[in-house]
Amino acid sequence: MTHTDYTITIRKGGTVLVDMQGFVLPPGRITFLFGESGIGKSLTGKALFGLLDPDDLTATVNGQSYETYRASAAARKMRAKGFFVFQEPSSHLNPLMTLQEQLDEAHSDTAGLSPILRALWQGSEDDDLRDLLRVYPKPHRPSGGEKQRILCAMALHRMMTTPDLGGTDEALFVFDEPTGSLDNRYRDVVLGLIAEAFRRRPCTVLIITHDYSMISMVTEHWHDIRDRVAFTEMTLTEEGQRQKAFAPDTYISWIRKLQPLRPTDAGEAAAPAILRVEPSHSVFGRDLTITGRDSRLPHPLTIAPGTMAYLKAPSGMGKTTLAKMVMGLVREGRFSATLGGIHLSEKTHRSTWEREIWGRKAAMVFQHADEALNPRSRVSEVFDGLPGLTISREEVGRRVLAFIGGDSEAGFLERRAGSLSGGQKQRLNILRSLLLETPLLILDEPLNGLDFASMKNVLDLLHERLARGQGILLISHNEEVFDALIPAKDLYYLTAEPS
Amino acid sequence: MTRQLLDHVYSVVVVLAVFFVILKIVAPSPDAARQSRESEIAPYLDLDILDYSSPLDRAILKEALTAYYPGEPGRGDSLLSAIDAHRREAFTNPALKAGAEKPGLTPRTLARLAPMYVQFVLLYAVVLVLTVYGARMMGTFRFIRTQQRRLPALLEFLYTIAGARREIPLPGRITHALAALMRSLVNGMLYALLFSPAYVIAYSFKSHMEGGAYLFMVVLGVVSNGMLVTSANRFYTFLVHESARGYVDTAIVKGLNASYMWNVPDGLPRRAILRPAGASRGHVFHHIYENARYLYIPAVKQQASFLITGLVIIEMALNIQGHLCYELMQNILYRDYEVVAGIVIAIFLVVKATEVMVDIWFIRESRRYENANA
Amino acid sequence: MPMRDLGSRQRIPWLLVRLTRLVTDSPDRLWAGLWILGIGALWAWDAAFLNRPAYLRLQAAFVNTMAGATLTVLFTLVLGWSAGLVLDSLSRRSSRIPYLLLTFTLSLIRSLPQIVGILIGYVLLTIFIERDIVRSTYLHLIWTALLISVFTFLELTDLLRERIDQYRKTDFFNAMLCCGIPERRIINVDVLWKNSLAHIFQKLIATFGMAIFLQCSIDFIISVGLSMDVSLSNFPPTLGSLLASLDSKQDILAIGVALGRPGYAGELLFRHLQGISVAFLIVFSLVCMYKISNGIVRRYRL
Repeated sequence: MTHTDYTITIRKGGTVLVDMQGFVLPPGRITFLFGESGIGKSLTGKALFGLLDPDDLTATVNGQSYETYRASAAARKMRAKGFFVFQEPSSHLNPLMTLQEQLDEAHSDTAGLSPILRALWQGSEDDDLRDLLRVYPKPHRPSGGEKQRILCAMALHRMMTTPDLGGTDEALFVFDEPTGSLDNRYRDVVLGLIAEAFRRRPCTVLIITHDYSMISMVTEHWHDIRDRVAFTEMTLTEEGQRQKAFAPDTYISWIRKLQPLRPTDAGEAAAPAILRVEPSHSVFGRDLTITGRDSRLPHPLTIAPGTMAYLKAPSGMGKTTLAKMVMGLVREGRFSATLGGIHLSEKTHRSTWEREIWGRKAAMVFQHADEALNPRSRVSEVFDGLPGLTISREEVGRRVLAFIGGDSEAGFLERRAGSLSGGQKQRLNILRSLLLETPLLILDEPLNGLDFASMKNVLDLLHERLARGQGILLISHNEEVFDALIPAKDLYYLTAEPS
Repeated sequence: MTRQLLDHVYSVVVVLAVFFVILKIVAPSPDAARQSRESEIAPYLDLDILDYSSPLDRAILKEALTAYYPGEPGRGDSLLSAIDAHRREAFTNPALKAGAEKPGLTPRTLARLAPMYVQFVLLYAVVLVLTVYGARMMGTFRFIRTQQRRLPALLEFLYTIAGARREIPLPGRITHALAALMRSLVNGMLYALLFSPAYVIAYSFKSHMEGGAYLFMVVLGVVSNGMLVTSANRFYTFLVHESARGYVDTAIVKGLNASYMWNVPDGLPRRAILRPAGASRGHVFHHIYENARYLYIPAVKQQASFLITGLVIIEMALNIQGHLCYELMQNILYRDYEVVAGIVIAIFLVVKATEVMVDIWFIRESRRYENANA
Repeated sequence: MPMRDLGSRQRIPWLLVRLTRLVTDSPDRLWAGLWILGIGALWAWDAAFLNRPAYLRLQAAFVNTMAGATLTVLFTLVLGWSAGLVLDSLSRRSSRIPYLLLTFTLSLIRSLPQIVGILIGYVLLTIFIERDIVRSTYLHLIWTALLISVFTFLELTDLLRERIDQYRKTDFFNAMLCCGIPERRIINVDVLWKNSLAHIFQKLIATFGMAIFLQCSIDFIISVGLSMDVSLSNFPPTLGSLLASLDSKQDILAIGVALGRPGYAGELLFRHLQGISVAFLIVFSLVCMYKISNGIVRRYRL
């Protein structure tokens, strides 16, 4: 890599997807790239690595055509010695090969793989690990987190055992959202392994993520290599994408200053709970229990008006599934809950939700903003069909522009949802649910895919909603942020232990 | 698995039940009225002293009957008109031809149709196997050519004569252009051939080949009616979908060969068209092909149904005696709906048997990729 | 040589560059244009060189065949869309019996080869005509179109159900449900209309080609003689029945002769024009429909 500075343009048909000037990727360093989802971080990473599909996209790198760039000696070396861990783990594993076969295909030196796998599966017996590796990947087995760890293992194996990694500028390792499906414990393990590999043999690493809490982890633990770590953020401006340095202190000081959303001694209102979920329930053959803050005893999850309950559990345990059961989207299993005075259980008929709950008593904001809106709908059409909407279409338009902010161009309401950035989609998603003014709002990973500025906006919005008496059920892996915001008595845990 | 196979069994049972009900409805009635008429006039027909076309003999018969049956004046007239109708029918009603069989699914009819049915099933099996392999090969070939991103032959020709390809010296360029033109003409003719309905091809070649030749029918079955092209297209679609999946990106990143050009170090050998799985190890195409091949198995069922349609068209259009579909047409023509229903059910059973076998095949393949339940 | 490198370094006539772009970017439009051009060229040639009665018959046959195929596509759309929605709603009810019954009946249709089913339908039609239930000759076209659509709508139903099932798993479906938007609206407007129109259109083009093929084949077969009492002169002329007439068969035979004696090829275009025209119309239409259908897949990356 003779450059450290890249100018990249990517077009699809007539639309410009990426117009990046001055993308800095210093060789021999670990670079973190933050930014909201959907603005081209992955595309930029793929362009550098040489993975774009020339049929679909037309790209230039530093003025050269993409074919020339790909065929250049530098790019070829980057690919030959490096690796790319993709974002979505489940579609990136071949369903007709066992996990062991796929790992062996990546690298022939199998001896070096075992310590990495043992580190990634801490606490598992060797036999269990061997059984796992003999599996053909299917949708639910192994879990999303395990699949992601397999892909990370392939990259780490290369980082640690490739005999000739060349100079620091010859191998490029890109990790695109490597910890999206992992909970905090495994996130820390993966980052720790990346740091260890980097210490042994420095190379160029690019980590694309929107999990700002990695900053805290790096600041605390990576003292010796701290000077070789760069934090940057990508933003979408009118001229295209730009990369700028992100001062870690911005985030760390903000975290330290976070105040609870509601003072802990604000007198327990006598208002009846909007939602109450009984502690024990079962789904997909597993028995689960909700426990409260300090005790291990089962505790029903209650949300009073103006409070936000935070439900925590390791990833894959079933938090989203419980939320979907309460919303009537998952009809299997056994549960019992009372929502707005209506009793709900697995026996309740779907029409109860259709008539009384959906859009009236409760609304839910889903995890992946990219998928939560119909990409072919126009922004103005997103609100069509909402029941009981008392405000006019013009008023809706006005609120959209006010809320999304910064885009007061006349054509914004006519743009297709698919062309919006991740942050804009997420805010539109949230706005749609908020317009319904339901007593209960369920938020599943509301900060996913947002950049730092948008995160703060959304948190302000939540604060405002709580002040107006809405109840919120929160699911999020941003523990660092929400632990500071939510009083201990509103924390709930989901466990698999029998009650 | 058993659930799927049970579904097939239910279908067969229901259809057979419907079949027997239909048989009852369309059973050729002994035509009691005609038979009693026949029995009445039979003795008179045997009289070879009478010539029924002669008016004199007819008058004599009428007189004799009036004398013999005094109280029935109209008897002579009705008898004569019955005899006339009978004689007319002997010419016009094909079912009464000399040597015509009794209508309905008699054992004799079944015995006659059985070898035709076996021949039909054999023809079907051979054509199906050839089409499945042919479709895979053609689909693979088309996929690799598309990935090579060459210009279509006609455009290549036009570009060469418009002045491109200056890196080739002039005599070579002329050959190159001519070769491209020939390729495009051959492609055009191949398309015309592969999409032609069977009867068009059959009549074109009728003078060159004996119509009933088994080989001719196999070739027709595979090549005509657009059968091969649509199946190849389906397999090509599977290849394209698989090539867009994430694991292909992971394979590229692992360093597997990813070029589709011939004769380059990280490309494919030409024999990959004939043996796609074996010749492409170490190449991302190996993974794409294996996944597509597995997912394509259930699609063979649709192929089977369309194949029967094609074979029926071929046999009916060629109109050759001694084939099952010729019999089907004849029996529709002569209103023997019992036999028609029988042949239709027999064809339905062939399709059902194929579906069952394909399902079993797919289940066995799936078993290889099942995990022992933890 | 990869396509992309051409035109950048060497001087190529802009027409060729435009043509290449048409081939790579919108092959469906290219082939739709070629189809119209081909039909137009044949029309002009026949107007000049084909005898008038045959020319009129050919024109009527072509129009009838295209009208019949269009009707088939319309019926397929109506049947396929309704069946898709009905199956989807039945599959989500607590009682599985209506769903199982319907899928069972549909699987029977699937297992019956199309041509056999259409033949049976034709037998019914001849019975109706004999018994004077059906008098209008154009009802024959409508009946055939309906018959063929019964055997082609299932592919459209499968496509629609696959799209609905795929989108049911996405978050936006659930998100819209939770906002209180009625499910019918989500399926019809958001999933099918907004996100599947290209798929549906592509399937309908393929159905159009299949309808031409089946209609010509069945007309060809029955013209060999399926009923003695119902004469073919009752039916409106179509390409299939025209092909089955004796003079057309002779013309097709001449193709075989020309293959053996290349010098005879010129005669094909003048003396054997009727049969050649019919064969060309059928085969060329089938090829073009196939290419258009593939072009749509390529352009919209289905």
